[in-house]
Amino acid sequence: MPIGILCAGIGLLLLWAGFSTPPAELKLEAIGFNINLAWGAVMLIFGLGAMALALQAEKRD
Amino acid sequence: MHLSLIDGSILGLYLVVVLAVGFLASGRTKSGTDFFLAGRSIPAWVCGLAFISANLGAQEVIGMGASGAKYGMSTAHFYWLGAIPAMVFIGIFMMPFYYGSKARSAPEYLRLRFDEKTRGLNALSFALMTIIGSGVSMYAMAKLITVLHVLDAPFAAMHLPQTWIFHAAIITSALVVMSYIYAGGLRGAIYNEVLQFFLIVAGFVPLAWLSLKAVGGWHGLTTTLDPSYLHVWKGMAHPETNRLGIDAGSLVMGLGFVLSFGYWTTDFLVVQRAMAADSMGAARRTPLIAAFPKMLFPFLVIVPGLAALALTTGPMTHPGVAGGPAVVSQAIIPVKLDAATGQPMLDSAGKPQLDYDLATPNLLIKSLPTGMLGLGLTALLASFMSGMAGNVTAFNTVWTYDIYQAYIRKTASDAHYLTMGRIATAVGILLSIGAAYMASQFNNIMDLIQLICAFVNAPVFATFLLGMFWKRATGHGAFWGLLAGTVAAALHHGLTLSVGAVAGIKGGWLGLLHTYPSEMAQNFTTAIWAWSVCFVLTILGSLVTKAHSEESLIGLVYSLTPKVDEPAGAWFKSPVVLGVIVLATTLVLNIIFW
Repeated sequence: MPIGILCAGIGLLLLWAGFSTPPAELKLEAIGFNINLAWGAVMLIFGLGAMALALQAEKRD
Repeated sequence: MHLSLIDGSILGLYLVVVLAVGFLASGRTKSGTDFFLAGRSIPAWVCGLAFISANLGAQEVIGMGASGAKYGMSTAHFYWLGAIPAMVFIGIFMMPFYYGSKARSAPEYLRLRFDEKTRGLNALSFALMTIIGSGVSMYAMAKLITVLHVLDAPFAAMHLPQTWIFHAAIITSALVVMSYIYAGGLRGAIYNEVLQFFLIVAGFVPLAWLSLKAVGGWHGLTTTLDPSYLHVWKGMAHPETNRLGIDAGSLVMGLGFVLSFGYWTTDFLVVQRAMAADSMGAARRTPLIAAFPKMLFPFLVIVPGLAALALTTGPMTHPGVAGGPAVVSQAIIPVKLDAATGQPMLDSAGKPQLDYDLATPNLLIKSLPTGMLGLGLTALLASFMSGMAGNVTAFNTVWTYDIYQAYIRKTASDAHYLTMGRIATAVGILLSIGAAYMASQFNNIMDLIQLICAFVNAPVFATFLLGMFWKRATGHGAFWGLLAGTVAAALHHGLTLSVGAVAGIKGGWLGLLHTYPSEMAQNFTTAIWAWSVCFVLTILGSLVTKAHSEESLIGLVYSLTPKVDEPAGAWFKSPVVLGVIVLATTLVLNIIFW
C-alpha cells in the first residue's frame, strides 16, 4: 500500500509539474514532448494499481 | 541549480512515506525475531527486491555510472559475471543451510558449523565493514548534495551558512534511517527497500532513455565512442587490449569467483534479506528473484555513464584502449581539478582527467526538467538510504547476537536483546556518522572500502564453501585458515602496486615485488590470494585436527543433510528452473554485447 501511495502521489506531483511549469523549464525542445505528463501518468496508474492489489490482498486475508 | 517547490514536494513525500512504513512495521515488531529477522514472515518477491535494493548503495548508482563512463560496457562484468552466477549458486545450493540451520546470522552459522572463535573473528570484521559501508554511503550522499548545489537556494533564503548543507544532509539521512529501523527493525528496512527499489527504477528509467536519445540511441554511441567502450568480452585476452587493464583469467577467477561469491554468498547484509523469508522455498527464490532486475541494471546505470561520456567528448578518433578521451566540451562530465591549485588534473598523456563520479548526477541535473528532477534526486537519495539501512540492520543483528549475546551477556530475556538491538541501531548510526566524517578527511575512502571487502569477504568465502560442502573441515582449520587468508591479502597488498600508484593505501607499504597494469587487476589478485591461502590452510589445518562428529553436522553440511525437495506447485517457483532461466538470459546478454 505505501508503494502505491508514494507512486500515485509522485505521479500526481509530476502531472502538476507538467501542467504548471513554463515550457522552457520543461526542456520541451530537447526532449520533444512533456515528459512530466507522460511519466506522471505512468506512475499514477502504477500507484493506483498497486493500491488496488494491496486492498484486494487485505480483503482476501 | 535549484529545486522547485514540486521537486521539494516529491522529496518530502518520499521522506514522509519511508517514516510511515517504519512506524507501520513497528506494530508488528514485538520480539527479537520480529526485529532482527522480520519474524521470518516476508514473501519471496518482497525479500528478493529488498535483497537487490540493500546492495544499491553509493557504489552502485554513482560508482557504476562513473565506471560506465570510464571503462564502458565492460563494467557490466560486475553484474553478469560478478553477481548473477553467485546469486544463482546461493539460491540453489547455500540457502538450504543458512535458512535450514535456523542460524540468526551468517556469523552464527559459522559457530554452529565450526566454533565460537571462527564466529567471533567473522563477526568483528563484518561489524567494522558495515559501519564503514554505512558511513561511506552517508558521506557520498552529503557530498553529492553539496556538489550539486541543490540546497544552496533554500539555505541562502534561511540565512544559513552554505557549509551547513553537508552537516544537514548527514544528520537528516541519519535520523530518517535510524527512525524507521529503530521502530520497525528489519521489517521496516525491508519494506522500505522495496519502495526504494521502485523509486530507483522510476527515477533511472527516464534518465537512461533520455540520455540514450540525446546521443542518437545505441547507434549514436557506436558512432561516437571508441569500440573498446562498447564490448564486454572483446579484447579481454590481454590486459593491454581492454579498458579494464585485466585479462580474462584474472577477471573470471578474481571477480567472477572469489569477490562475487565472497560478497553475494557470505555477506550478511544481503543474506539477511533471504533469511527473513516466510519459508525455505521463499528463501531460496529470494536471490533468484533479485537476479532478474540485477541483470538488467547495467542498462539503468552504465548506459547513462556511456551517454554522459559521449555527450562530453563528442566523436572520438579511436584513441584505443590505452588513450583517454579528448574533451571537446565539458557539457556533462567536468574536468577533475586539483584541490590545491584549482588547475585541471592531467593524465600521463597530458590530457585533462575527467571527474567520472559526477557523470550520472550531472546528467540528471542537465537532462531532467523540473518535476522529473525531483524524482531523479529522490531516486539517488533512496539508493543511498537503502545501502545505509542494509548495513545498519546487518550491524545491529551481528552486534546483538554475535558479539553482545556471545561475549557480554549470554543469558537474558528476548525483550532485553530487542532493546539492545534498538540501542545498537542508534549506536550504529552514530558510528556511521563518525565514519562519514572520517571519509571526508580521507582522499581514497572508496579504495579503502574495496580493500576491506577483499580482506574480509574473499577469505571468508573459502570458509563458508568448505564448511557447507566438506564435512571434514574443522573449527581450528577454519579459524586459522581465515586468519591466514586475511594476512595473505594484507601481504599481497603491501608488496604490490598498480602502474602509476603511490605507495600507501593503494599498496606497496611493505616494499614492491610486482606492479600490476591496473588497480582492478591488483585488487582481484589480492582477493585471489586471500581466498586461496584460506582455502588451502583450512584444508591442511582440518586434516591435522579432530573432525566434528557427523551427527553434529546434519543440516549444516551438504553431504549429511537430506536433500531439499523442490516445492510442489508452479514451475516458476522452482529455484532450479528460475536459476536456469537467469543463467541462460545472462549468457544471451553476454553474447549480444560480446
